[in-house]
Amino acid sequence: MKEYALFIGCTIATRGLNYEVSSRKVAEAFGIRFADIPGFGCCGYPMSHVDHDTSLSIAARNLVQAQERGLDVITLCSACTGALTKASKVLAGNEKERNHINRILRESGAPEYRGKVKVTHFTRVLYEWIGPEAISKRVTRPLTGIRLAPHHGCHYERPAYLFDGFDSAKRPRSLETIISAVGATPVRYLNMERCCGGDILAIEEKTATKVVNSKLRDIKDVGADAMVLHCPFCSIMYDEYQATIEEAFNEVYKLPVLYLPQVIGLAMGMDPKKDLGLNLNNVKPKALLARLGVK
Amino acid sequence: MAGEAETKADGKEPDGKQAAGGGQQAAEGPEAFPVVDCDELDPGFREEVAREAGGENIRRCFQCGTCVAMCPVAEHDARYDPRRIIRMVNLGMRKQVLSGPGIWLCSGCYNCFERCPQDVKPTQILQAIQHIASREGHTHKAFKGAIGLLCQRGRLIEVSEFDNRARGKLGLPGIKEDPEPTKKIVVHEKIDERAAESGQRAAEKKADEGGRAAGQQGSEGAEGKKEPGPAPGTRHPAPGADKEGSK
Ligand code: SF4
Ligand code: SF4
Repeated sequence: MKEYALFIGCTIATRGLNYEVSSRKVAEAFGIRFADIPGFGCCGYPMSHVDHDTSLSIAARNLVQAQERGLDVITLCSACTGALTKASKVLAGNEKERNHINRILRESGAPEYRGKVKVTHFTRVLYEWIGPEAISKRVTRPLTGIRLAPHHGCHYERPAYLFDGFDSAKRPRSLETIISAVGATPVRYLNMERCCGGDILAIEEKTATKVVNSKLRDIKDVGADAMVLHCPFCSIMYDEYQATIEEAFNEVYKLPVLYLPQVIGLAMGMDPKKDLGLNLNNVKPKALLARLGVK
Repeated sequence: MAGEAETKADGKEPDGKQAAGGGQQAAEGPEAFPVVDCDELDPGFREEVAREAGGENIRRCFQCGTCVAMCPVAEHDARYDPRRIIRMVNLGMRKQVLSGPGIWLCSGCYNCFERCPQDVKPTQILQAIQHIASREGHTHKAFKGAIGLLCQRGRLIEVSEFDNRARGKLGLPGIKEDPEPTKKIVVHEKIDERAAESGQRAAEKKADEGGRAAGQQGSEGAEGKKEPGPAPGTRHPAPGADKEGSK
């Protein structure tokens, strides 16, 4: 059993309960223990657009919380993954910068960061550490014939230098691999690597919705039963905003948007509501569940 | 020639809106593309950006446009064009870049970063420019809001009693907000002060122009010059050239 400090971040804590509950259930099934650290706060990502030192220091302050417990960090949100991994990598490899950030931490009353904590996205743990074979072995309800469109998003594998190139930054495949492992069919579509635009939702909502709409249309063009992703921001854009976008662009998508652990959990025979929170998804995956004979 | 590069760089029509970084003549017809005014150029600007963490490689850009081709935002919003912003920096169009709305439209997706043939790292260039802009009191209002929330709650989204009850129902642990540690960092780095300052400046400007600039964030004209901001690059020298940018 491997234990990680679970970093939920701001968005999942209130708007991604389906992601959190399904992740916990799937992790447990694979013998991964999540420790909850009360001292965790914002990851620092939002401040990456305002100030370099502030963003790094806020991220480092969180890493210190894990350090004090002797744990590495596991993340569910890609923005958190980006901010915390950046701090982890930069501060591990650059003593000068670490001393600089530690001075800020000291002057704001936080303990010193020693530069050892590692940060990993949950999907990467499933992909690299658990692996598709082990996942495949646990499938009791194969998703045969279900077409799933993966959306890797950003800050999970991009920029490559932060993530050791564990998956291609230009054409990632880890989600497809896991989708195949649970018996479903991964679907390819145009501009798969394009982002959700979540970062500029508060800056320029209109542009952000156009970015979202173009991906939904690209997926509609190839036909998929659902979209699969692993970031609460992406989910807000594609799931929460979908109805608004359908109206604004006069389109009909009705495309369910599932978190990866919800997909794995479904294939492992977990309860769609109690274990996976599928009732909390905005676009209801009713047709998909009916095809699997799940109620 | 330089002017030509700027005005015709990408052949896109700005749909009558402001051009990237074009703080001037906001939304005023075809002149929306930034005009190069030689008297306004600050030749030191690109060095200033290059000194900023993440801005190191700005001089390498040879204007190929790969970043624009990869950019999901540029595809849908003609006001945004990372290549044009980088060109404007290299030309020294400091005022237009820092006070314009364009620099805030990058979605930070790193698609351009992975494909730029010159390893310019446009994503980090944009952040470096945003950092300079914030220091000069141009923090975008969305981030001003974020700073306020971080100081108030230590998080971007409130966790209310209702939220904790919903969490409890699913067997998820409750969350207690603790803003202090994050707030202390924000206060130490003074980004809250700067954000407040930029709000004030916007208000003054509005009064100045008799409300004509309503809704315009960022300042223009003489005001920008009175800026008592720190000497370029003194407060945030990139600590160690071998930092995050290098592979
Ligand atoms: S891809 Fe790189 S070199 Fe080409 S225009 Fe963009 S920043 Fe410049
Ligand atoms: S990182 Fe910014 S400039 Fe680069 S492709 Fe993404 S949105 Fe466009």
